[in-house]
Amino acid sequence: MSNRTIWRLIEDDIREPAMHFAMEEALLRLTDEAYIGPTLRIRRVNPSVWIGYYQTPSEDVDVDYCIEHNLKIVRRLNSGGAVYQDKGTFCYSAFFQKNDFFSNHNIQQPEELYQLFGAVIIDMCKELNIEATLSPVNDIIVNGRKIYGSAQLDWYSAFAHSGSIMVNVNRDTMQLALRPSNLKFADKGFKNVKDRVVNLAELTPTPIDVKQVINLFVKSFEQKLNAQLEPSAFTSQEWELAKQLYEEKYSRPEWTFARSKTAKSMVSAKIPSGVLTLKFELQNNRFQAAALHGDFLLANHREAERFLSNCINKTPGQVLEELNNANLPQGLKNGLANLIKQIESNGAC
Amino acid sequence: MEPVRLEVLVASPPTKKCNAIISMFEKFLTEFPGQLKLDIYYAGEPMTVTPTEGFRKETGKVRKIPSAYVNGKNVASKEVPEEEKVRKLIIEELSNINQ
Repeated sequence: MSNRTIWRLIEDDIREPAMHFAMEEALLRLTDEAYIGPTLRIRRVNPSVWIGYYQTPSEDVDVDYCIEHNLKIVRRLNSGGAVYQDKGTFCYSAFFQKNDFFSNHNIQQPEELYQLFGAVIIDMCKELNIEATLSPVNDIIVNGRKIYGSAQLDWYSAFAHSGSIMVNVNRDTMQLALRPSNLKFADKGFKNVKDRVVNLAELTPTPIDVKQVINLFVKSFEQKLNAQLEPSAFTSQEWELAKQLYEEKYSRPEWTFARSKTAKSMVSAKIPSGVLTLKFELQNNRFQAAALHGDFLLANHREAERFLSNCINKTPGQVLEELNNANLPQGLKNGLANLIKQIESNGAC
Repeated sequence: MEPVRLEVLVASPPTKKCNAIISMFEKFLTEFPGQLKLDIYYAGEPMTVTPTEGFRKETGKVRKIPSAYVNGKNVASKEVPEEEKVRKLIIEELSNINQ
């Protein structure tokens, strides 16, 4: 027991989704600034839709349905696809100092965490006599259907790995609220989002509730990550920063709904973690604007933003050279290279 | 492979109908990754890409806003087109390219 890492365990009662994300960012910032140690946060929120950092509500969500049914739409700080959450789901986020955690668990690349945290979920499922497997990049599936998805955020010296587990979510509402491309499921053999996912409660012979699954998750987390979880509560510093981020960012419609109008052309590519769209404007064969959009996974936004701002006033050929040196995941680099080559070969048309 | 060209002519700033067309066409990009290119022309703003021949012919005399085109073929004028109708035409154009 002595070599176990001590983690704070916080199961809070923040139910409002925008405040929930404000607290997530507060914990990440304070982890980076070394005010707090490793923290595992578990929470459930009011029915709502969360879009990925690079997504557009009107494209990925049925906004009218959400408004009509009082489902708040909030943009997350991490990337990935849109998700629907209600009281039949729960989420966790593990916040830690990247160097310490990576060295303790022999992690070389952030992507390896999908496997490590995925193993926590797989073991948790074993306790329920459910055989689950990792479906790369970031999902856990049972008989081909998704029960869990995850995403990451690389924030200076801190890191957050988050996941969402479906215990008894309303799949009908999920189907109506989300608008992912049907072809995203077709290549996996499913007609729509409702068929693509399954609840843990539908897989067990006896009824289970979210609280039971949370308890199993906590136990599995402790075992798999050699952690000692100590129940805790948010500090006043965390509350203060979260309230500030809520007021200045997450509660504001522009955080979720603002759209860039500067890019006038778009091309897209399928990469291992999702669909990547490059929105751009080219004048005299030089980029005047460039932005990423999509449900792909990317832990470090800063690197992507640095790369995109370096594209401005450069030709597609020059951008391809820059891409070689960019510190981005290989899958994303390959996808971007294909798109830039497509732009290069088509010139201004 | 040459991408199928999608073009949308919208008001600046876009109206609700314009945004609906843009959203629909952006969604097609994710449905057919690597196969389409979408260009949005904002009325009154200079064009930074060369439009298709079909778009130029259609908008030469009268500009209908919003309007939308698939490989130069008009699919909507002053209205939001039926998603399925546009999808069918995209699939048709893609199969023409592959033949």
